[in-house]
Amino acid sequence: MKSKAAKKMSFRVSDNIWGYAFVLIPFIGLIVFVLIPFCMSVYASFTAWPLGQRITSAKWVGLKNYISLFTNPLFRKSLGNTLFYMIGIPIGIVLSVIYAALMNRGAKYEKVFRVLYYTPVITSVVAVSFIFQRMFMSDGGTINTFLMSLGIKNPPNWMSHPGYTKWVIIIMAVWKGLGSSIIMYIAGMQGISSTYYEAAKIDGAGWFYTFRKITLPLLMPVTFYLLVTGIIGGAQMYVEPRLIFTGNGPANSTFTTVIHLYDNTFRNSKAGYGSAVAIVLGIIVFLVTALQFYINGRGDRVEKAKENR
Amino acid sequence: MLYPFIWMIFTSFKPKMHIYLAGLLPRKWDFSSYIQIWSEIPLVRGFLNTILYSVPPVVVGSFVSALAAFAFAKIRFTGRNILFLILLSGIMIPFPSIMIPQFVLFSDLHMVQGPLPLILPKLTGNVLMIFFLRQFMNYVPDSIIDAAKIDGCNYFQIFRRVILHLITPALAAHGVLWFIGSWNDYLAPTIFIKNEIWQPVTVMVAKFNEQYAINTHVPRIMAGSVMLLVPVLIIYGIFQRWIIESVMFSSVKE
Repeated sequence: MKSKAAKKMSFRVSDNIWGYAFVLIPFIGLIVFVLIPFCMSVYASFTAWPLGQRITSAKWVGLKNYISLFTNPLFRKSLGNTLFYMIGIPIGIVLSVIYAALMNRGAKYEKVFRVLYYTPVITSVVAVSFIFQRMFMSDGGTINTFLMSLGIKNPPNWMSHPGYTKWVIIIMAVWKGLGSSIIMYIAGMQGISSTYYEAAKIDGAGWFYTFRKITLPLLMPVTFYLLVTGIIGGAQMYVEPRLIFTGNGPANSTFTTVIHLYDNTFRNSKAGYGSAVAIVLGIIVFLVTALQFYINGRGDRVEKAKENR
Repeated sequence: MLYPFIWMIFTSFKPKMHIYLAGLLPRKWDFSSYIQIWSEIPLVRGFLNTILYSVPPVVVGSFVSALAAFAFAKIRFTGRNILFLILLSGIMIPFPSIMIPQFVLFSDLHMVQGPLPLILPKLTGNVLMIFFLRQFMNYVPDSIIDAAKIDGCNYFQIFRRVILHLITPALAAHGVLWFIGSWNDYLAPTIFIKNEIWQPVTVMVAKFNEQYAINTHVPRIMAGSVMLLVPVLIIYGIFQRWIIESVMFSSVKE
């Protein structure tokens, strides 16, 4: 009896040693590359810190950076642009549900379509940005050539009219992300038990009714996941507007919060102000992520409660 | 869906002034844009840099992540849950919020003239991957691990001989996504890599393309995009079935 307890004891100790050893490296990474930089960002956001100088010698200015941030029309414009781009998220979700539903009904060459739609997902956003920049140019651009051949006399000046510039980026982002959401929806649809559909069939429900009442609600986790990752990714939009448009875009219509952060920090060397932008951005992303974990956790608890019943 | 790629390829073979002419196909095949890009930028070096940033670090980082996920899922050590939550907090901090101090850190350590800033952080694993692999490993029955313990295996041996085989599909799926992400990375290298010879191919081509955007030399810009895309498209063409299956697999487990 005694030796058994002792053995259990030693297992406990060795469990601890192995456990800590296995998680050690990710923790070093977290501390060195995330937590320490994050604390530095928070501190720096309260200072006037010219990039290149030591952060310890930066002057404490209190809330000045945050005040100048929220009174800066450029910052507000960048935040507005960033939010505007998120129109692409619901568009992408609706399109991908439709495509996934069509493809999942056993369309011919369905697997080929999957491969084709997924191709933009794996390709470099740098290359694709330049392609779209040139496809949307006013003269010689393939989009406007096409629109004119449809009989539209004055196709939009996509690249220079502030009312259209954002749509170039939204169209590209939807096109590039569609394949990934389609795959997720198809995977979700294949995970739905066929007994639901059989029951609906017996009750005489039509295809659309079944889709609306069974498929869509059961796909809610996927939709929610896409929405949240879309918002998190959208809040960090940088490459597309940076490469497709020069500077902040016509009438500041395309630049984003991360571009604002980058330019202030690395071009104007105002790292204190840039850090304040970084913290505001971090708070937005944190809230969205926390919401996801909260709702996910609630879903898990509901399922557990059901199992225990 | 693929039209932009097709347009890109044909346009890259047109002479500069022909882009205003109607028709998708070039009326005259002109290879000068490719000669230009190959002579102007060190493409081979760029590709080698990109491979250096996206293959060894992702392989090592995936292994590290799997080991940590195994510990979080199957080893009962003190403070396991709280440590896991702390680690997860890392996901909630977006890269733009920490890139300024990271840059300062790397430049204080004199690393921005070399390749290390794009390698070191990946070596310590990927929190998102740990999260998903841990979930996946919860499906592995404890009895397998207990049996291996009775056979006298320590935890590392259990991981190497038993767990690694069981989680290979999940590990590969998330590894591929991570690999594609770091292959296409653009923002981090523009900040962290100050020595042009260490730039990944994405940054080199972007610079080339921006230079020709000023005088709208469209075929050159498209040749740049072709060079960036062709290797990826070839790899994708060979492994497409496996990649799609992996992605489907990983999204089921989410």
